[in-house]
Amino acid sequence: MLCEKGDIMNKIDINFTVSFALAKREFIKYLRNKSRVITSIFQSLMFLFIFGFAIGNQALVSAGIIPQAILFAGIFSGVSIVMDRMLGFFKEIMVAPISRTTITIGRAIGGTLVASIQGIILITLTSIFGAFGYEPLLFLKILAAIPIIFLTAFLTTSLGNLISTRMKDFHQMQFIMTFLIMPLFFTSGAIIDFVGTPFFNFTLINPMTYCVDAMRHIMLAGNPTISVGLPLYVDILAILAFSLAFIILSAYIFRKSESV
Amino acid sequence: MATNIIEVKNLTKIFDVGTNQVEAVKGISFSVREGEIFGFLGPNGAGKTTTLNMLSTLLFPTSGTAKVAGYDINNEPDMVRKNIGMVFQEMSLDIDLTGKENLELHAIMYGVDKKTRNQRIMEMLEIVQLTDKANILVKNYSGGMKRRLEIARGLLHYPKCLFLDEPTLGLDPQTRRSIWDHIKKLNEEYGITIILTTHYMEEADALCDRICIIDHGEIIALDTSENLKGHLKGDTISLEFENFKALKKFEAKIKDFAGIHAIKIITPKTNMRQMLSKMAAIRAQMSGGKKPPAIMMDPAKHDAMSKMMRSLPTKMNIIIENGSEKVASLIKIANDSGIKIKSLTIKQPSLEEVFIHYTGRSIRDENGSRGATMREIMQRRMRSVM
Ligand SMILES: Nc1ncnc2c1ncn2[C@@H]1O[C@H](COP(=O)(O)OP(=O)(O)OP(=O)(O)O)[C@@H](O)[C@H]1O
Ligand SMILES: [Mg+2]
Repeated sequence: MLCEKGDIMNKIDINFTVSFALAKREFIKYLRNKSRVITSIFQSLMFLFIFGFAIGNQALVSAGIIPQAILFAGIFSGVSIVMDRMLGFFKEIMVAPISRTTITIGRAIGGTLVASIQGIILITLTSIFGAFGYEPLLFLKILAAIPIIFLTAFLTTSLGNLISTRMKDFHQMQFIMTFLIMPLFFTSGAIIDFVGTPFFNFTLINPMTYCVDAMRHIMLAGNPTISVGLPLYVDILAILAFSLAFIILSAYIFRKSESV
Repeated sequence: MATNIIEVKNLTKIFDVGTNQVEAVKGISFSVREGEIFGFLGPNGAGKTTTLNMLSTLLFPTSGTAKVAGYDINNEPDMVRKNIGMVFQEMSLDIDLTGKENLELHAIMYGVDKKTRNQRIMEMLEIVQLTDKANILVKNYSGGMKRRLEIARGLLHYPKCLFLDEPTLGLDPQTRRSIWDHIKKLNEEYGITIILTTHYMEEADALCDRICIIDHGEIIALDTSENLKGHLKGDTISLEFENFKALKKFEAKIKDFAGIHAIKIITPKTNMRQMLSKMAAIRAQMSGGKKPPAIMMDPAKHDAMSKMMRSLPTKMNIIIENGSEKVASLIKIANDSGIKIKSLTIKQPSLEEVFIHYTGRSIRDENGSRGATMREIMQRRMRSVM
């Protein structure tokens, strides 16, 4: 009913200068919030040591834990939108002469950047701790993993933003944490390996499955215990498809919802 | 004559609050001329912010529509936003950024080019006297500083139409005056149409070409300040009596007095429900749990009762022609019937009187609108968490 005219026009009305400025804001805020960086890294390392030792395959679990850490970081960018809403800054953005698409893209870039950095810090730390063993090619593997980290960050940020478009407070956010993030985490194959079991097909509806699989392709290359479920290019395409779907959906909901 | 930059038709907003519905704006229609300073004056909860939020496309109207700068708020919200600016009543700054970063981000979002940007940021920081605090994080600002930064931000770009929701609320008179000057300058030099809401009569009087008095979501009066005062056709005599009984007696005596345009009884702050529950409690107490007596006892005998009686109105305003000449005869009437007048003042009509005349109460009498207070509490809580 609303916004019929100019709908198509405004979907392509993207102001990248503004998107980047919004992304920069997110990034500055991240750098100023040291406790957030430390907490998230500590949490991931804890997961890593506990599950790594319990399951006994450090390399396999490490490759799975990194996408999960990025998942938490990506969802957090959604939390920051809820925070903006509660603190009032959201209105300032919403009343500005910029399309909702510009805002969505700004959020996506900012969140992706922040979540990627978390991922890169973690992969560096786990490698230093020897989770992937020490080998001459390790450095190259890390470099190759960076694009996967970015893709994962992009995917999870888009998901975080999608979830937050209708969230008004933290109670709802906690609900999501319990009923979405944890299942996403446990069914992604990060800790328990589902490859080769009938359950694997079911896990394909979980976008995190592809991130974990892609990460294993890279970090466990040449490892005899390697277990990957899909070709790398399928993983990448799936990640992109999920991200795009999330972004389009959140831009749509965004346009249809009130801002105050 | 100038064309209309805003045309509002039957604009309505109904909020769903649980199972209840709150009709915050009840089908209002009005228009604002290009280049005008247009003011909304109304008590808390009148629907001013809701109206502004709909005009700025942040809220969708339940029904009705409006055109802002030629664009429909329902069908072309993006185009509307390209032509407006807004200063919100509630805080909308990013507290994790510095003052200057807040201003810069705003200017970028509104497409102000880099050279103009720096120059205007400097100018606005100077006007609101925050130049030396520009590089401090906003979370370390005081409440007043935040408000000043917020206004500075809103005045950084020059849109066709600028909405200011209670722009100078809680500011010191000096800052308020320099902001008024700047608003006037934007209006005169750049032809920016300004729509503001305010609680301050002086502000409405000093700035607005036309004033729209709004109450309970309805427009009660809309005219220039001069004309609104002219409608009152007379002076206001404010009287205070010993008690409610005296007031009622006096009211009856002057019923046929020549030249009186209106008699307004000023209701004290205590609200009705509170009073009724108090009354019930007193009755129960007096009857000792038995059936309450049909007729009340002499209030003077009971402390609680007389306390309650004191919250009944004892003040009235009489709008009367040539008030200063007639006041002597009014006092005589009171003396002759043994009514004691506690105090008396005569005023030429001011906007305040206009307001009381139309809404039946003073603008500062009410409690804050619920949405606003809840969010403020939230904001405060959030700030203490971080
Ligand atoms: N989001 C909301 N949900 C439910 N009710 C709301 C909402 N926003 C406003 N209201 C109600 O609508 C009415 C009008 O509120 P509004 O904020 O527009 O008043 P106002 O004139 O701006 O008051 P103030 O002078 O206190 O700012 C009030 O009764 C308020 O409680
Ligand atoms: Mg308001």
